[in-house]
Amino acid sequence: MTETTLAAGPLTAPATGRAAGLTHRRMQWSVRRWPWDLRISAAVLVLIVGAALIAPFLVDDPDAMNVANRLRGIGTAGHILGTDALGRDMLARMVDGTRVTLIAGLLPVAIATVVGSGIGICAGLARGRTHSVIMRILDVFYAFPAVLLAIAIAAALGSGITNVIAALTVAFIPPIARVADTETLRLRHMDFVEAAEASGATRSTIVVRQVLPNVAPPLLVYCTALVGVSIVYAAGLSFLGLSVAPPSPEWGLMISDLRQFISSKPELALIPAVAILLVSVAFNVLGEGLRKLGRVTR
Amino acid sequence: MTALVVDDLRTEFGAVQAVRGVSFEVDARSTMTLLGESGSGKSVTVRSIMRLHSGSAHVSGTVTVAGTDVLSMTPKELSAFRGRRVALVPQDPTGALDPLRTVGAQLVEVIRWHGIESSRRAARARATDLLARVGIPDPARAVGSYPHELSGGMRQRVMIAIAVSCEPTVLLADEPTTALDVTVQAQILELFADLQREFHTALLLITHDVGVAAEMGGRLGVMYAGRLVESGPTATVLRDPTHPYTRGLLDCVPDPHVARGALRVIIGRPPLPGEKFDGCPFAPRCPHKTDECLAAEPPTAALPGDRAVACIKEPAWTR
Repeated sequence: MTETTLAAGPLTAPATGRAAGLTHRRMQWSVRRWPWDLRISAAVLVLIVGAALIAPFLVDDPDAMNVANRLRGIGTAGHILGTDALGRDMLARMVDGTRVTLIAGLLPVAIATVVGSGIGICAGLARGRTHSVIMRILDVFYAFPAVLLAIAIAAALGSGITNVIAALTVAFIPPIARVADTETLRLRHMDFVEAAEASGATRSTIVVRQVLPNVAPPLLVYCTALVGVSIVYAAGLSFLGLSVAPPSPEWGLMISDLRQFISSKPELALIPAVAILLVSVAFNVLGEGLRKLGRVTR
Repeated sequence: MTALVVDDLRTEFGAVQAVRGVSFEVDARSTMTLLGESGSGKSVTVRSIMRLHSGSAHVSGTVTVAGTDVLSMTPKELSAFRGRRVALVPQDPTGALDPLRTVGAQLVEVIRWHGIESSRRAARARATDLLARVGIPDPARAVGSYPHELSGGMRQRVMIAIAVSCEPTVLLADEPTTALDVTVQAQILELFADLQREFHTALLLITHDVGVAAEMGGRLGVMYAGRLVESGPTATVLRDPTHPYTRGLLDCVPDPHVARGALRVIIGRPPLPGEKFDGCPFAPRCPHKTDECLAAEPPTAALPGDRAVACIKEPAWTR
């Protein structure tokens, strides 16, 4: 691109018109340009999401008990990942558990993104007192560590996956709102927002056309990484018995059940633990990778 | 017809008076240049005309565009007015374009807001025409490019295309060539002159560059400490300045014919925003000041040749 600009001189547009501009964009986001860490994390996530979607067709009943065949190690015939304390197939439970894990990871962040960015953008656009009031209220939530806040809310609401999602949503709204607020404040002083105002844009047009699209990329990156955090928190709450009720397979709950056998069969408790780690790291790497890719486009 | 009338415009930010009673008129098709240093109130004047200040600013006086009073407009009227009757060409075209959307999308948007073209296709065709009109090569491709794919001069041409897209009565240009190369500067100034002829637009140009002011012709207003200290036809004001500040500004311009020698400077500094002064604000820096200058701020006096100056010594000091 630089070459064309130089060759054509300052008066000629660089050779990136409509067609060239599009290919240029497509190039930026094509998998070929992805660094290896982003590829691996994307592969892990595709695998997990795929498993969650077709879980019932993939494995046998995760709740089928066989006490005679309990606590088998990894590599047992018929049970590749072994069996738990009640002789249930670990692979089946792991695969089935991806659903709860993904829902508990994605849903709170998705809801909190909508609510939080709404609050943050409103605060960023409002001047003076309104801004202070909104942000100070959010600061109150900041006074508690997010896990503790989530545990407190989940404990107050009672156990169950819906309450866990609600608790995590509340815990994630303040940080998302703060990111949205900061980005909006930064944007409000950008020349192009004022230029739009000078061209006759109304307040609502500026929000929809200027603020939202420009706040979205950094927010998206932040929220992608937050999904990883959400998965860990959800597993934590479930470990504490605040999430799904026992027979349902859930990774955090599985760690909790298998930890009593940690001295005899340590690998069994490690399976869900490693899975949680892997998925949450994958989301973090994805967020970071998106940020880097996005920086090139700017 | 008079396109823009500014009468006794005053803009205050709390205790700071940024513009202190500025009056001028610009006719359709003609040019008025405001010349002055940073902080002299040029940009604040332009922003006051478009009412782009935040709530903390207090603007008084009258601003009339094509017979309509601007300062009494409701927010809704303002949105319909900005970009349609008065358009702004900003100083830095790079920051003034949304980095995430194509140049065409940003042009089409303004055209459709003001109902110049209602269909997307017609608006896009008009956008392409406008880009061609402001001298962008291969406009059909440029319509689909993102701002970062264009050079600085091209981006400024895009900003000008956006500004003239709705054929405004008045075009405001806030140092439109400051961010550009000298060679591109001349082309942009020429483009303004062409567009004025084509769209019958009045142009209010802001600059700190005496050369740019000389090039644009028309009328010239020299601003100092929020006031017009001298105004008149550009050619005569620059040939025969009557205010010591205008004289000083001209002396500061380097002369390429003089190989060496120190540049002359205006000693001292302009008053700080909000600084209180009795008498003429330029007096502390003026080589011709007397006690009389420090007593009261000089009123603006009309001079022959459609000129005006705010200096009690005028024109005796020059003789």
